[in-house]
Amino acid sequence: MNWLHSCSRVEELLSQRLDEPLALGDRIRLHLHLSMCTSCRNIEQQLDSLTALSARLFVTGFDWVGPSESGASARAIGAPPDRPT
Amino acid sequence: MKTLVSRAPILTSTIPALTTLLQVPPLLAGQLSLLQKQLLRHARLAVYDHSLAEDLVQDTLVVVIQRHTERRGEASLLTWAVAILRHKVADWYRSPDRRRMLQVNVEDNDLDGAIEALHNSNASDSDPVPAWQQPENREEQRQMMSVLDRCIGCLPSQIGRVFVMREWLGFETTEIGERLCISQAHCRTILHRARMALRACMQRDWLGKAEHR
Repeated sequence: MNWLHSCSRVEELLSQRLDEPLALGDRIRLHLHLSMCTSCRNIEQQLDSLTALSARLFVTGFDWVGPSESGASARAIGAPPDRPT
Repeated sequence: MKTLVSRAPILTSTIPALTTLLQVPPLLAGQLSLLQKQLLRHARLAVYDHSLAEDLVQDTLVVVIQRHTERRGEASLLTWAVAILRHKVADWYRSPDRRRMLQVNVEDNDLDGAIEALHNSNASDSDPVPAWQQPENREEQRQMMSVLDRCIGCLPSQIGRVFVMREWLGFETTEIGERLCISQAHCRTILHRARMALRACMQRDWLGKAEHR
């Protein structure tokens, strides 16, 4: 067994950390892995963004069927908006 | 929680009756049907049963109508109503007379398939994971939120519900386990899968599109 966690295990721990405190051993190995692995640091950043955005989305309520403000809301219902440029 | 009186699905056409009965000011009355749609979206993500979701929304609308004069501060009507709905949904999960939920089965092949599909549409696992650009302005942030909103809606419903219980209702994993009759480890796995699926979906639909800007 590898003393260092694999990237997939690290992703599990990064998710778990959002819900509950990690054991000391896991915290140390996670920290070491992140210090050496850019991909996992980016996963960490993505998960943080995801959590913050979700919280905002749930709290404010996204007006996805809201009255159209220059068409932005109407486009938001289905496909992402067109980018003409 | 009070017993839910009506089991019949509410239709938009019942709103005029409700507004007449409760003497709702016209300005608020005009917003109710849209508000109902927005609240139903939240409620359907959070509970299994559609008619239950409609009941919870109807209960919420009644509170909105009765107490709208108490609303103050900067919160929009929607944000305020969503907070009321959140309490209603949390109360329902915590009430002893709630109907039993379906077991959440994480070994379900459909769920695996759905997440697999999200992952496969993305680059292979060996590729480096890119950082997400933070949205630069309100319009970009709005677009990012709309992509996330759609991604959450695309989660397999059982997985989505656990995610919503955690991130919206703010339940701890131990409580989610208790309410849904699943182990904490099982709950942890579901949340991990939900986040993986959302990352993959955002990667494809937000970052993928952003690269062409």
